[in-house]
Amino acid sequence: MRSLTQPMDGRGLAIARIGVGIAGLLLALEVYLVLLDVSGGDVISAPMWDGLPVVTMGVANGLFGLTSLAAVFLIMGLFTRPAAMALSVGLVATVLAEQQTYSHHLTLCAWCGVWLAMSRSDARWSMTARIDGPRNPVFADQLLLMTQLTVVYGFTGLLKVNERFLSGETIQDNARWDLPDQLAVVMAVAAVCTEIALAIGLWFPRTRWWVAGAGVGLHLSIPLVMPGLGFITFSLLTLSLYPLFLVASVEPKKPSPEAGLHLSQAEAGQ
Amino acid sequence: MLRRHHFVGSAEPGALDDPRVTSADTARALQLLTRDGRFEGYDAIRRILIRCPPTFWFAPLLWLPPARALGERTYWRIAERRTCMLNGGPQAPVTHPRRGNLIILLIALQVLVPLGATLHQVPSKLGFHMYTGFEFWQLTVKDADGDILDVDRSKWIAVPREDLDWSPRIAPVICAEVPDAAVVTVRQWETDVVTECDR
Repeated sequence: MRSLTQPMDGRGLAIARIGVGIAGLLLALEVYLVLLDVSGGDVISAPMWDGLPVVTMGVANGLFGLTSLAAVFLIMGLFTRPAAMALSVGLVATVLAEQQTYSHHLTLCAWCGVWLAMSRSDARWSMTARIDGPRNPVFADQLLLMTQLTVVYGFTGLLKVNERFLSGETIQDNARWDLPDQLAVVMAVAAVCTEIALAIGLWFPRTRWWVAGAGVGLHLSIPLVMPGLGFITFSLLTLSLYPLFLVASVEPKKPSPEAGLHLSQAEAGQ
Repeated sequence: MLRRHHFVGSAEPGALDDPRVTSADTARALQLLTRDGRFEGYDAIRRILIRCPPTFWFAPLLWLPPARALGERTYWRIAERRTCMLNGGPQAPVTHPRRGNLIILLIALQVLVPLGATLHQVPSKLGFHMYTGFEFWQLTVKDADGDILDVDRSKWIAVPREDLDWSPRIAPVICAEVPDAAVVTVRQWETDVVTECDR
């Protein structure tokens, strides 16, 4: 097991940050369409609690502006920590204002925003890294994103172990096409096995590449079989967290004799 | 200033001569070595300040709450962001010593929130219950003779979420807007909730 202070290749965290940012942008659009429906007054409004502000066009635009702007800053890696927190706040505020905007991938994105706000996710591939220079994050910076992915796969995988899901009925009900019963059963069992394997296997060097490959297959097949922007967002979110398990640790760079020599030469030249 | 302290840079020869301090310690934070022991970070700063005549009068305040908590937080925040001029590449990272406990707490939170949601009800919010084999909620509207009316629920619902209690929301709307509706039944979470319309 790595220590919390183990320096890591910052590109894994950068991919996670960019993936969460793009997913946040897609989510902002997805929930904005729902908010527009609700603000029109034609459909039922379902705020989380009575007394919360009614969803009007202004509220919808404001939440869309906050969430999408935060997502753009997160992708760019500029003011990354406040942007990540603003993304989470924007998504949570949206659900509080209107529960029909809720989705499990929104929850995952909001959690990831909080964990990114606590990490040095702009250490690489970001505007901040271009301005201040690259840095190495440590294992502690990415650990919460990794455990979050495990929690998601663990819960959704174990809860699918029931008669209705394993019979393939749930997949058939949601598929684009009419799926034969046997194929639906195979897909259901494969989905459960893959999700549980991902929850465990990503943590072990011997299995992580195998289960990551299976996970990529799972997340590419879900949007193909089931229609909806949400599936694409969910796949993007989860897949962007895989590199956190796959990137290698790095040794901290120490001042070399050559660096000292260059400094001496510079001093001598002054 | 009054030679009460002797400053040694971490890159200077002899910086690590004292066995109480390692290169990892110096990379992480300012180290103060005294006869009483080794102190680092904020703790080191306030101990230096209390031994200096210009600052000794206010230094005791740094032991009082919330100055200590604020000072610790500020110190580690700056320590995490500092850069090393001798080393052009990514610098050796620093980590707040208390961060381990915080991470354990947050991982527990990651598990307990969906666990609580799962124990409460499936499907429910925050539980990651996506397509976990639950029965989709159903709406049945009957007229006064008991005949089923053809009602399109999407007229009133933006997203028919399974984790949202629809009965108290949709039944009054259908009673108000569907002239022949007499009984509205919402089957959700394996329970039928029947609402009779007042006509």
